[in-house]
Amino acid sequence: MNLLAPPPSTVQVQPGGSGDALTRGKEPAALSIGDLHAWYGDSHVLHGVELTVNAGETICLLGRNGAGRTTTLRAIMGLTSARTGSIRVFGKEVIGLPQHHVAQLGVGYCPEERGIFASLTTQENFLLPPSLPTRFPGFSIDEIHALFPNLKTRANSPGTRLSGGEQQMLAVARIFRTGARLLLLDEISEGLAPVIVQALGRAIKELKKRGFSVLLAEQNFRFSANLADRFYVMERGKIVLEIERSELSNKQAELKELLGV
Amino acid sequence: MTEIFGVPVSLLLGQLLLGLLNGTTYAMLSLGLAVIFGLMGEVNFAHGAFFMMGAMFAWMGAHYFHLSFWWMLLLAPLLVGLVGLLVERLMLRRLRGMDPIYGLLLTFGLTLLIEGLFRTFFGVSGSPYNPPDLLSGVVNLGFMYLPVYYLFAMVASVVVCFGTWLLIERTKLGSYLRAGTENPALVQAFGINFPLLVMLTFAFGSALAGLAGVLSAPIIQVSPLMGSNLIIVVFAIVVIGGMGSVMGAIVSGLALGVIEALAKVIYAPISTTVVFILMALVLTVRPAGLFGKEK
Repeated sequence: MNLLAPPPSTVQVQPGGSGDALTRGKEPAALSIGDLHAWYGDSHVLHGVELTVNAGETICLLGRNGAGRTTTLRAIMGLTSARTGSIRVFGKEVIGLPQHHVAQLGVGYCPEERGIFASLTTQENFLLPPSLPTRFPGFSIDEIHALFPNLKTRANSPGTRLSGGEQQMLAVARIFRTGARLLLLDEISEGLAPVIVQALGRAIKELKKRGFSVLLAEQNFRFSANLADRFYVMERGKIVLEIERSELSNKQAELKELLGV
Repeated sequence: MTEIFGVPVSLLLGQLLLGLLNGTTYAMLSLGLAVIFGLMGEVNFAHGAFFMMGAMFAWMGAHYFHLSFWWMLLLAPLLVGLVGLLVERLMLRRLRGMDPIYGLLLTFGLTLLIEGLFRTFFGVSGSPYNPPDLLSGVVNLGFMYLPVYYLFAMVASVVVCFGTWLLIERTKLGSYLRAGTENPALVQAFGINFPLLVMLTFAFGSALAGLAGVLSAPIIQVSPLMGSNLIIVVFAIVVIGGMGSVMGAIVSGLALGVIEALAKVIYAPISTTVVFILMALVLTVRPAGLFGKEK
C-alpha cells in the first residue's frame, strides 16, 4: 500500500500560455494548480493536473464521467485521502494546510452531491457557511433572495424537503454571501429542469460581473458554453485540452471527440 | 380508588416521583453521551467516570476546601469538562479515522484508571454529602414527604436538558454541530474549525456528566464506584433513544426512570432488568432506536 507515492513536486507552474493574456496586472491567479496528483485510498485518480483560474475568470472543467473533474475540486478542498503537487489559492499554497484554512483564503465550495443538511432548515443551511476574512463584498442576503426567491419562501422547511432544483439553488447560494471570491461549483446543472438551469446561468453571469472567480466542473457543455471564458477538458485524471472561448467554433470536432457527445 | 395494580396510590405516586428524579439524572447523562456520539461516532465509556468525578470533586471541595455546594455546582463541571477536553485533545484525537472500537477501548481503560485512582485514595465505602442549608428540609406533597433538594435537582436537570436542546436545535453553534454530525468533511470545507468543535463538544458532554454527578452527590452515596453502577443503564437508554439523538436521549432518560420505578412497585425483581428488556425489544423493532434515523 502506497498512500504517499511520489514526493511533492517543487516545480513552479506558470499560468498556461493563453492564460497569461487574461491575467490582470500583478494580481495572483485565483487558483493555480501544478502537477496535482490525488488519491482515494489506493486508487490514484489525478495524474498531474495543471490549470489556472485568473482573478475574475469563469473557467469550465469538462470531461466524461470519471475523468477526474469532481476529484480535482475535492483535492483543492483537501477532501481526497492524499494529494501532491501544488495548489495555490490567491498565491498561497494550500497543500499541507488544515482543511478549514482553504475556505478561509476565500474559497466557496458547492459539492456534487449538494451537501444539504437534513437536520437544518433551509434558512440554517443558507446561513451555515461562516463569513470569511476576505473583505470581499459578495452578495447580500437580500440580493441572493432576489436571485432565488424560493429560498426565502421556504426558509423554515427542512433543507432536504426542498425540490432538487431548490436544493441546488440553496447549495450554490449559501456560498455567495460568505466573502468567498473563488467559487468551486461541481455539476450544478445536472438533472435539473431548464428553467432552473437558466436561473443558475443568470446567477453565474452575475458572479462574473461582481468579480468572482469561478471554476465550474460540468458534464453539460451547453450549460457552460455561454458562461465560461476558458475551457479545460479532462481525461483519465489529466488536462488534455485547453480552449479559449474564441476558439470554440474551430475546435468543435476535437471537443466532441473528447466529450463523446 | 386508593389502589392501582394492588398498590396504594400514594406509594405509586411516590415511586413515580422518585423515578422521575432518577430519570432526570439518566437524561442528563445520556444527553452528554448522545451529543458526543452524534458528532464523533465515538462511544465514550469514561462517561460514568466523569459522572463520578463530578460528585467526588463536589465532596472534595467541601471536605478539603470548605467550598459550598453552590461553588462546586459551578467548579466541578468545569473541572470535569477540562479533563474531557484534555482527553480529547491528547488522546482521542489521535484515534480519529480509526475503527471506533479503539476509542471505546481507550475510554474503557481510562475509566479503570480513574476509578482505580479514586479508589486508592478514598476507598469504596462512600461518603455522605449534605445538601446546602438553603435546600434542606422536606415538602409535604400530601402523598409523601419530598426532600426540597430532590425537587431542586429535578428542576435543575430538566432546565439543563432543555437548555442543551435549545442550544443544539436553535442556535448557530448548534447548527454547526448538527451539520457536523451529518457531514463533517463539508462543514470543514466551509471553513469551520471542526477539530475545535469536536474538542469543545467532548468537553461539554463531559461537563454535563460532571454536573449530573454534583447534582446526584446529595442524593446517592458519593463513591468511586457510583459511575460504573449507573453507566451501563445509561448506555441502554442511549440505545433505546437512538444513538446520537438529543431529544431521544432526554425523553428515553425520563421515561426509563419512570418505568423502572413502576417496575419496582409492580414486580420488583424485574426493576433492574426492565431497561435491558426494553432495549432488546426496541432493537428488534427499530434498530436505530426510538428517535434515531436509519442510516
